[in-house]
Amino acid sequence: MRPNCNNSFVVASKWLGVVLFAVAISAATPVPTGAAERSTGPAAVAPAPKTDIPEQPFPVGPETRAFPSSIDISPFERLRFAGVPERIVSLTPGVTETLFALGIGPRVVGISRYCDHPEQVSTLPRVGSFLSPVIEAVIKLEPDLVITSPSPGNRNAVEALERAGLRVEVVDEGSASLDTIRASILTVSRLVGRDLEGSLLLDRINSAVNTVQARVSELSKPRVAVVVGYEPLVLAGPSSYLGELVRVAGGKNVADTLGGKWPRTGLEFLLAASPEILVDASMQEFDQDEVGTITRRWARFPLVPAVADGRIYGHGGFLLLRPGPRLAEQALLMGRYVHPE
Amino acid sequence: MSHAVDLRGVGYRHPGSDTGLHDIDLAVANGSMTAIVGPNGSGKTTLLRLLAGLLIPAEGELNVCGEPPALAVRREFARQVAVVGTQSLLGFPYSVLEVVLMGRAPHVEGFHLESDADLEAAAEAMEATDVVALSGRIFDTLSSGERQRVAVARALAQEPRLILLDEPAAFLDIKQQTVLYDLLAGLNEQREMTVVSVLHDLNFASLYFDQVVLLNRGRVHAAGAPEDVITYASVREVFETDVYVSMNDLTGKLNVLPLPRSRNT
Amino acid sequence: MPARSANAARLTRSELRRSLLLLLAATVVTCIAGALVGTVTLDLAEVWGVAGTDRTIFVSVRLPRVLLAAIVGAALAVAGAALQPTLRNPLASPDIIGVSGGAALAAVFALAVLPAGYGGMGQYLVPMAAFVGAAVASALVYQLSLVHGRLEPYTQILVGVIFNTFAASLILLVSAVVDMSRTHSIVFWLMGGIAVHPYPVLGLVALLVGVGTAVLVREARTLDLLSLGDETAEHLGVDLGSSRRRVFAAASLMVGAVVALTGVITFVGLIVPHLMRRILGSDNRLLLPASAFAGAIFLVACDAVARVAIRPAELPVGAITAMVGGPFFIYLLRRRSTAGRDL
Repeated sequence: MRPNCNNSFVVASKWLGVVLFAVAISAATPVPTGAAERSTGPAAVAPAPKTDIPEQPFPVGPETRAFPSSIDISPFERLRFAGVPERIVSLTPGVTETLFALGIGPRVVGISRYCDHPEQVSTLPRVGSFLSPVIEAVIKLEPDLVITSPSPGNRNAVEALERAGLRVEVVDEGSASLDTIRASILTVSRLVGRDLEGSLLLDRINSAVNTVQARVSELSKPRVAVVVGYEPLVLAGPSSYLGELVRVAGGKNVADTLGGKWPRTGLEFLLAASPEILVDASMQEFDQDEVGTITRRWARFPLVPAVADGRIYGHGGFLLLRPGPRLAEQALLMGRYVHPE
Repeated sequence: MSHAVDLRGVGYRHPGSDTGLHDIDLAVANGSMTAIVGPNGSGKTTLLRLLAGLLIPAEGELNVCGEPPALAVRREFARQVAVVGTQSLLGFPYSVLEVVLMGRAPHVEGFHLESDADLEAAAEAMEATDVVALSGRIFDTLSSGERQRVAVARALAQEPRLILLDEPAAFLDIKQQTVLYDLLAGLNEQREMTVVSVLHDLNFASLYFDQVVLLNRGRVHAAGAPEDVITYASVREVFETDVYVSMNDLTGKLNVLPLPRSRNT
Repeated sequence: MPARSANAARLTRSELRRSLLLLLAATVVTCIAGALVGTVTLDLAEVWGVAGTDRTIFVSVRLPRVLLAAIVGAALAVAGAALQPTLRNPLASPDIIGVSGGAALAAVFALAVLPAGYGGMGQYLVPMAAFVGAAVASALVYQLSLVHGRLEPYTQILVGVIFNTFAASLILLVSAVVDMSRTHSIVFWLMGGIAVHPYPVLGLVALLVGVGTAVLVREARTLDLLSLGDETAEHLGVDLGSSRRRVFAAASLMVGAVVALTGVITFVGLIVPHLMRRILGSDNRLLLPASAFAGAIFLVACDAVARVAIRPAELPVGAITAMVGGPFFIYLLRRRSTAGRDL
């Protein structure tokens, strides 16, 4: 079915390429509002220079959809393969990083307000975020692909963007586990036609993770607490990627008993758990003031082993709070925190 | 029809209590002024509400302007009978004219606005009650006496044949009271409007009204001309207080003077 | 002082027609103006002419928002204008009858429990839950407000306020207990706002609001008579029980429908009727339809400000209505003396 769609698309006029393509896809996808909306909706975006479709259709077919079984595709990832996108808007920091890591930074035309890495993004226009996209600004950028992560707050915006004729892909940013991060990188790389670069990136991540795991496998497991938010106190739970990184780095996450992804708890719990290592990921800028604040904050509890031993770690620039291609660095960092040896 | 108001053996019981009205016989002639007096709780207001059709009698026959009011179509009934209570503040800024025009509601069809004829009727009513000068004022800014007169104007705008009033002079000073009752008496004389009013003041009752009905514990204690009904004995029995009742040379009507307890014994 | 009362004239057909036509024109103008401003500066020529990005933005994003703002503003203002006389309280507004509390509570439950999903009608599960919540709340408040089988305005206000407070505390409870990611979506919903919805959805809401408004306008004269007092009104021909029920049902329907889509937007239902009363007088036959138009104008304007003030970010429209409405409310309170007892 899909190759046929693409064939007809290639055969059809290049100017109406994007429009017809969008119509064909909406007819193929079970979206009840789709067809009706397209016919009564506005004329779709048809800007001039971007529909440069390669002669060779993007290789799609059943074989490419068979992902390795260890990676779960969550229900809200709808993968609709088409030509290679030239103008991409990314509403999620992790996806932005991935796009740049895949080498297609120049194709990114709009980012979210939370995107801060790599530095090139500082000049790009910001169009809201995956939490609340600014619909008009996104449309104005005339992207042929918008990538966002799932969030109940943006459902309406996603539908509105699609009604306006844009292509929106919803990709889980992968805060739930390392596997979901890997899956999101894979998905994004497929979306933009950079499979090779994607798998290279994954290899790098996997090797870093495996290295760390191998080195710490025989060592004892100290108790680790990863603090993601301070007021209220939020820890990285076992169902989050940070929790998993703790396990990879050979530590025991004190939040395991709490369960969940980002459990909210009280200081009492933290003190009672007496972590030997504390990673404070709630830092914003790694500057003197911030360091001072963090130090003072934890210095109030000298009985906590982590404080007594001076094993409180943090890293600036939100490094740890951005699930994405820098997973490799995150794994190494975490490894160093937990087992400096 | 012979009488404006005709009650035979009418009874009513308040839900959930033993109090109410029992065996009321009453006749009000067309074009007369009747006062209903009695102590608190004797059933004056209940009687008035029965006459207005707001309550349904449990027993007996009740006819107002020839039909049982509770069964009548409200709007049509309102074209014959107008009810005036103590007019409280409206809470919203309506002008006096607007308030009086609301009295035309029983005459105005469905979604129509008031016509010129309605405006004329309202203007006449305002003239009769001497509130024309207040026409543009906001109702809630008026004094209580003025508000009461406007309420009467509103009732008059209904062009009724019978007007029922429930303590219309409450909260009015003596001048306002006099003005009000003069007004009612004037309407009664010039337009042959039947007036039935509940009031507290026995002096005003005897001064202005042809017939006085004295209620006691839900029954008619006496009914008739003021001098027959308001006597030392009846006041002693019904109100359980002493008064000095005499005929006044100047007015030709009764004086009722309360007797304060002597300070000496 | 309302101009008409100063001249002691009555409400005439021609005045009614004139005022409403004027307001209609003003509403249309405001809507067009509202659709022309936003995050992105549109090229007018492009909007009119060829299909292009600007035209897409105008038709797919701006117009639906402006239309929704107009519908919601109208609904809230008319409901407020009708509730004030029926509850015999100038401070009454659609927020205090318990409907918005019920809608919000149901929406929060839905957000806490339902799986996130894209496509199709999944997006409307929360608004539908909210609407059901609104219906249940209004039925509950109605039942609790009956005193000896009659709807008591004073009791109704108390029950409504208490219900809203109760709902608010339950909402806090739910927000504190759920996972952080859901907390965010709950907060987001509670902030309220005019989002972009497809035209058929707008049509449905417009229909519900239209029906509700028609019912209320039909009761307009009754609402005037109610201010004379229950007994006098009854005597003049008003069926107290059924007219209060009708007003309550129509207001609940409209408010439920709009809160389901936009969350709770405060002050519109309180301020607009008062403003209109000052300008046009209290006759509800003019006031109700006029409030509908004025409410539309007010909310479209506030939404335009919300979209433009700190672009490209957007302020929640409820913040704008509160910022405008709050001080204006204080101002009205202080001018009480000159306009009778009304605010």
